[in-house]
Amino acid sequence: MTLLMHTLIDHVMCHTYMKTLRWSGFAPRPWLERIMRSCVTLVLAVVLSCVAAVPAASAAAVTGKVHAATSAPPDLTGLAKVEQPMSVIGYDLAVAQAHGDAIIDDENGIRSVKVSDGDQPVVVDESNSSSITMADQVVSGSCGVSFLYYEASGRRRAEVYTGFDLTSIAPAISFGWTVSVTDAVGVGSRSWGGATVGYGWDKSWTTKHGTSGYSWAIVSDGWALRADGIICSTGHPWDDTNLY
Amino acid sequence: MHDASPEGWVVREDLGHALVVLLHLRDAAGAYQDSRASQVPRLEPEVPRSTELATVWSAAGVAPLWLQLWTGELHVESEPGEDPRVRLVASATSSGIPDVFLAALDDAFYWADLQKRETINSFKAWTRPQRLAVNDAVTQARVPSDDVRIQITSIPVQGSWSQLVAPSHLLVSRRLREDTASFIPTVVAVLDHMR
Repeated sequence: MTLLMHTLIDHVMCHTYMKTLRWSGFAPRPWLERIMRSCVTLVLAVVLSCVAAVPAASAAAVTGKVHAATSAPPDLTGLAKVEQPMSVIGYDLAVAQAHGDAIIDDENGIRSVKVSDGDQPVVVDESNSSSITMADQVVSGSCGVSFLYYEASGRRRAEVYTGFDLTSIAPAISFGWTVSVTDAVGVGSRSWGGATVGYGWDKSWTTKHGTSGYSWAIVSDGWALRADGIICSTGHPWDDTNLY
Repeated sequence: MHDASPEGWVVREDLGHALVVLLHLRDAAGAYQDSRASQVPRLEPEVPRSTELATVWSAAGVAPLWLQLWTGELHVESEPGEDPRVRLVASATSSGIPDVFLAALDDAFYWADLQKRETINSFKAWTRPQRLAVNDAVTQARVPSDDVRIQITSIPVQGSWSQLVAPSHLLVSRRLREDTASFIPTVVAVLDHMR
């Protein structure tokens, strides 16, 4: 229901706005049109996120798909500290279609393209904006940065600072983020998520421990669903510290 | 739902905590100019010099032992749950480094912790271009994205400095990492070198 509302409003507003611009003698280039669409999406997502039904419906819709991709235990080999890129792990076709995007999956990886008449990619003029070109390349491989810092602050406490930044034109409309903290006693975790709007998110979290000594924290599960349907997943950054 | 796609390019960044500890030992011994140790600049802020460490460094020929530890840490692929203090103390002990340096490890870790805290505070204030500088570099370099695997280690040493210590491991000074205009060309050059 929410998705349907979102689709209809987005379509009508974008169409009307573009038509108005063209009538007024201004013909936006395709890349500009894409930015405008993203901006409209941004505004709409803000409005919709105020509706109580949105977070629940959106999160529920996304959760099923994302869990399908991330249900396997994270591969902890070869992980690095502090920062890792977000990479594309899949897509939500309904969201992509709702925003006029088509998903292409070939030897170059998964990416979304704006389509017209349902099947032909729009020719995007990239000569005036390298960022748009870059955004397409990031989609084919990596789509942003995720990070986590972890440092003891005394009295058996520590500070986790974590989050992500997307490089895409399409903003995130929903996300899920879980940090797991391990010390000599055991493992604890905390999760954040739900509907959101923007290109990044960060959070500080003070952890309290029943012991001192070595401890480490990791983004055990993290993803962001973009307005164009692409799902970006964390590279599982981690960090360690000595509690005191 | 589509299955997970290939991971694409990966650039990992870390703070080189154990490396900073080793640099602290070197600088405290006043051996930052010892060409047998390394070509890495002095730590910033400068570490107070210890006469005792300086004396032992020269008399006991610590430079090659230190270099052995340094090289070992550069090639460590640490995993979550592996305490770097335990690893470093074990490798320092087995290297035969004099006890006075083992005793100095606590001070070195304390100093490194303080620096890490500063780095975190500074990162919280970073601009978006600073955070996404690596992404910009990779896209500017236009390399085949699936082939790129790099590790970048930021350490608090003087100047705007960088050194490729392995084919895909770049050491950079914290100052260079924070200077996006200089950092991006550095990474682009490394990516070009990797082709």
